[in-house]
Amino acid sequence: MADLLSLLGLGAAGLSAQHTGVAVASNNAANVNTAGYSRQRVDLRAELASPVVGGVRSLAPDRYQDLMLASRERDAAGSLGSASAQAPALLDLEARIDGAGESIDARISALWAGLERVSAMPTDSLLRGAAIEAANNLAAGMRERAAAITAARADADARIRDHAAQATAIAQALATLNTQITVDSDPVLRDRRDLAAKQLAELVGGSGRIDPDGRLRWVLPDGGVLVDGNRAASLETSPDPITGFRKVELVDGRSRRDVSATLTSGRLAGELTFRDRDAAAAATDLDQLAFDLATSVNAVHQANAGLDGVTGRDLFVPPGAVAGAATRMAVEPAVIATPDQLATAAVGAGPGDNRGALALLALREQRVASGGTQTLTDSAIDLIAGLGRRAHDAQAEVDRSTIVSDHLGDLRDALSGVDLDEEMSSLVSFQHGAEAMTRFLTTVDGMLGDLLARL
Amino acid sequence: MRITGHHLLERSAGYIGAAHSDIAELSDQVSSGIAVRHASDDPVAWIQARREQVRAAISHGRGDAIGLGSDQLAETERALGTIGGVVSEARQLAVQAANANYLADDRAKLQLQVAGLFSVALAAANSRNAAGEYVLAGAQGLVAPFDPAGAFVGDASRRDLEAGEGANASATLSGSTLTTAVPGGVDVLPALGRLATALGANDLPTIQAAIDELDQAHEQVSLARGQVGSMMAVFQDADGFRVELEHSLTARIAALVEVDIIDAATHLAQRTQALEAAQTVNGRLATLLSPGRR
Repeated sequence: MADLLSLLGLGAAGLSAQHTGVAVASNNAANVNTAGYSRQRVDLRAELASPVVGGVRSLAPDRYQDLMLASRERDAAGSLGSASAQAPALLDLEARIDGAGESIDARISALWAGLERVSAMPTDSLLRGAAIEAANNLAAGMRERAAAITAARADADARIRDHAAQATAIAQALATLNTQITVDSDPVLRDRRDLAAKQLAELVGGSGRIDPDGRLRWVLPDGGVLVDGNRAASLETSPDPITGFRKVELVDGRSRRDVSATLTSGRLAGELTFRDRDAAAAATDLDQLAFDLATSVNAVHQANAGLDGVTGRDLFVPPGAVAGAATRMAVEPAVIATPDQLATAAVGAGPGDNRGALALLALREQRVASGGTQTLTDSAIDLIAGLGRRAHDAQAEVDRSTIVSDHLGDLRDALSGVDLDEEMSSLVSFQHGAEAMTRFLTTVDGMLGDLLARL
Repeated sequence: MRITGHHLLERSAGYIGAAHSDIAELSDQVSSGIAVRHASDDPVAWIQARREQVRAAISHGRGDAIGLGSDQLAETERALGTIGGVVSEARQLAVQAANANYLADDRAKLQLQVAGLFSVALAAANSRNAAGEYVLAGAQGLVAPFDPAGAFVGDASRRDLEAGEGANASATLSGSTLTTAVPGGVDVLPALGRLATALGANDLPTIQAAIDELDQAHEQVSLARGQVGSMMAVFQDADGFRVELEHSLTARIAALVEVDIIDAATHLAQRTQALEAAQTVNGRLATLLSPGRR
């Protein structure tokens, strides 16, 4: 009698285990399209046969997961995030500087062409006016490009603010999940945490590790802790008084530290690199070009005479300092108002002399830009080419990081992805197990009934 | 390696997306004919193309200057041609007037003709180009180079223009070539004036002396016309080289930035086939992995 009752217990436990299997397989199938979901498995444990009978027991469902792979995925997400932020920003800046309207090098060439025509007929007021208009057009182009670079940097600045806010929200979600995971072993919570950690890596880079207490700790490249157990610091932005752009600060209680220069991967790093290195370099190069152009042209212009024989005049408003030279670039208003002031003649020669114009034209071939290493047009071309090269390299980095990320995604899918065929097989298998257990229970129940009837 | 059905579908969708992207890019290239629009497309080709474009733009500006210089020289040639014709005609009148049978009245009539010729020559010597600049004035283009008596008041300077990359050539001839500034030369216009005066004064020895002077003046004008002709030839050659250079630059720019249409069309066909294959595979996978078939 006691043995038969034990058999009933064995059947009930077996039926329960098979039901758990059916539930886990169904749950896997239901989450086939859920981002970040890791397929779960039910581990069945055979019970010891001693002292009477064995049986089976289902352990709590666990997930298929490789912590090392998850860590590599986060690293790859950081690299991809950085390149994905930098490449489109560079392409956008390239289009803003070189895509809209006549390029700077074309405008410089137009100025040379205008001076070339004036050299053929220096007293022609229409040709003089056209040359001055070309200079004016060049100055306007410089100002437009400087404004475009500033606008691109401001756009990046706004994205940096948004990314920092998103990262703070994710860090807080991670801290909350850390707390939940300590009291609830549901694998779904760990999936959610992995997904959030990957999103955080894509935004700010850094590294995450699971502490012995099972909680994830997120550390930024400079060692600053963003998430520690159930506590999350925040990433805040505030305007830098020197640059005027936002700096990113790690704020933890009263502690506040600028981490802008130490972020090395993630979207924030990509945007910061674009804003503070790529676009800033373009702005500096443009200012240097405007400065070199204005000062070299002015030097020659001052040494020659206008139609009135007067020397010592500038063609461009003197730029003063290199910084901001492109923004301030303009043709002297007096020259615009009186084209006769264009210095096309040598000192003391008559108005029909063109040696002043030829001296200005000679600047075309002289290395007066970039510290005397380049011609003005080469410098203008190099400015765009530099941006193009960086955009090209960043796009290549996006492609490379995408391949790495896809490969790691493939590995993750191979381990943790849900396959409906497998789940259907499991479902059928557990269903058969449950049917067998049901039949077993029926049999034992019949035996018990027979026994009781004979008593 | 374990491959899930979901992964197969995702990978297939990825192939379709990549094929779409390639087809869009290739279609754009085939339709526009341009492969390199921005520096980021191909930095090396873009830089080379942009440098050639700058050279082409400079060459184009030089072409305009050469055109203006040639016009100036043509105007100079016209003026010298007129002056040469006047001098030749005046010499004939001087020869005629040197005839001992001519009376004072006859010479007075010839004086009127020579005075008229002088006016024509003076007007030609003070002729202006389209911009209103006196073509024989040297660097003093805003002032008439010859005064009413035919004396030269301009300067002797010439104006050089760029005729090619790093090569200059003169594009003007000063009226000083019609003066004694030329070794062995005479003042051409005053010589006409002196002839007219001698005719009016019935001064036969001076009239006879004027014949030799006008011979020299004619030779001087011819020499000046020859110089102008040489200058025009230099600019004509320079313009020819310029046109050739621009054609060559255009071809080089095209080779750098334009698409090889056959190559691009072939790639487009290949990618289109790849897209069709990926779509077919995706359809088969969708059927194969459909829950209804399980």
